[in-house]
Amino acid sequence: MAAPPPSGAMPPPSLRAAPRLPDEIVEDIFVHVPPSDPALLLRAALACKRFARLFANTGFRRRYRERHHRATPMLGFLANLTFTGGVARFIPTPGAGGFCPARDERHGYRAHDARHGRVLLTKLLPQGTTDLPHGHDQESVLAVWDLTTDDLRHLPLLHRRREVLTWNAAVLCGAAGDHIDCHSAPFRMVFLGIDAKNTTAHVFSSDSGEWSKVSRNNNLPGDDLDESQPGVVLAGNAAAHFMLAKGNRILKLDLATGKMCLLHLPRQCSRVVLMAMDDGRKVGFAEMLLPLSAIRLWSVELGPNGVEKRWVITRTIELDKHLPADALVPRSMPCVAAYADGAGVIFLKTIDGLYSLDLKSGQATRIPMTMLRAALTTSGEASSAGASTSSSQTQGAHHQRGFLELAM
Amino acid sequence: MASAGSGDEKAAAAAMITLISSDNEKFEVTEATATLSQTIRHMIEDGCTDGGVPLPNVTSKILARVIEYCKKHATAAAGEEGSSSSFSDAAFLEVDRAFLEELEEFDDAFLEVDRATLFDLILAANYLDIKGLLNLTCQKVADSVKGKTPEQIREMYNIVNDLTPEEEAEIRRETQWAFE
Repeated sequence: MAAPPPSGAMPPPSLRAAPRLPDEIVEDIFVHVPPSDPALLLRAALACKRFARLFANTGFRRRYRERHHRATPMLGFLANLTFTGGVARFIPTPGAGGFCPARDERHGYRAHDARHGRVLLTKLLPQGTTDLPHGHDQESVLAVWDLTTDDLRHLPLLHRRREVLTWNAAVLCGAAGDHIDCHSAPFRMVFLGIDAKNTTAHVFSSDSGEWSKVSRNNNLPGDDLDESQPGVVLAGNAAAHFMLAKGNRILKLDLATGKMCLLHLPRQCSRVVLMAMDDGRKVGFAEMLLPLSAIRLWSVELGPNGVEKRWVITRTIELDKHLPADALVPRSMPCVAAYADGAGVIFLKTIDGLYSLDLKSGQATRIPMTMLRAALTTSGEASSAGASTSSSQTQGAHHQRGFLELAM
Repeated sequence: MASAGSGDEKAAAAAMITLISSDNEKFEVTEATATLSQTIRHMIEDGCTDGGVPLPNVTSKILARVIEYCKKHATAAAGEEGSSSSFSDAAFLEVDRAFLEELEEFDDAFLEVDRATLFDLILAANYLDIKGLLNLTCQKVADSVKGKTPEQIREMYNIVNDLTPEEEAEIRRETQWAFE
């Protein structure tokens, strides 16, 4: 029997022209193209208006998403780089289709959070510190950048009575349901700030263009928010979670009720990275077990009062099964550097450089960023991104993006 | 290929269905083979297959190939049913594996056709609602799009570029990374 043709081989040319295929069948064919090659759909969309319209269509994108459910690769992530002075830059994942945004950085901004193709940016001040969005500046330091369309939306000032001492924020997708069209849907941003008296949560809505107060609680956690680590938002925007600086508690904000509470980690862990577990239904974290070169993943089970009932070890990952020996030199102290929310990818900093590890497939990819030594954070989400023009639409990649902060 | 007479005895005992191509050629197939097509399955269930099933959208050349596929895969389906009750039996698993490999080789060889035939097979698989064949042929075409430029894709699909140069330039500018 003949060997299967090499991938990409065309069927032999025909003597007669190929019959015209109805829309439905063109869709049947193109839902089969792999999500790891997002450029393919864009090139096919340029064949004619009919194809461009078809691939931009919500129906096609829904089918495509369903067929490749959760198989969307992480096409890249954002990193706040030391050599750019902290400015965030998009770093494509090696071998993931070559997606590049219209521009790979926004001058003067660092990335703070990213979800569904939107990046929450904070303005870098000259001295390298980030001011808080409460002050008397003429312009807010917060902005949301859409990587696909390159739109930058400056958020209005959040007026507060007291100075915010510590804060964290997460950008939320406003789309209901399956996020097929979420890049054109409105977004919300949740901002959690702690001042001398209160812990307060505000939400900005892109629809109204205004901030609104969600809740205020005069119980102070007695700790700062870990601003280097992005929050984790559960499926359906059910709750946002932010790590506290001492690393032993998580501040949980229920986005439906506005109720805030603290989740206590099972014990003092040296450096944990907040994660979403169980397909975004639970919050959890990853910790490195150094002597074993293994990562342990924990997830929380909540009691009826909304705080932790118990913590469960959901998985232990032995790194030597995934990473090359070069990355696991004895006593080299690899660490879990970051987690891409929604992508199911964690980042590991090793002596051999940065690795991404896909938790589903177990595949580790070395990211050529050797010049960076780092403690880093990331977050990201799947989004289906499209490019649209006034006269025709073309639907492109299904992206996953995270961001990564590197500072040492 | 005009009749599906000989073959396995079990099938011979089963009911036969006559399929009639657009150019009026008759194909006699077993019900097991024919019902890989959901369209025909529904016709059988509704009892409207007496006197043959006319398939005005499918030529004899394509129908013969479709039947070839269905025969092979109907046997495969029967084999699966047979082995499911004794799935723990290592010998059965071995047989299954060999059979699956053979089926894969059959599929690869089956797809060695020119593009127009491949498209005709897709149209027939869609019309007859044969999921496996539709997936197989669509995947083949999708694989062949890999690395192609928009021009090559137009040629493959026999389509005319109706985007104005301005529109094309605009899309290319927005998505430059995809064309590098």
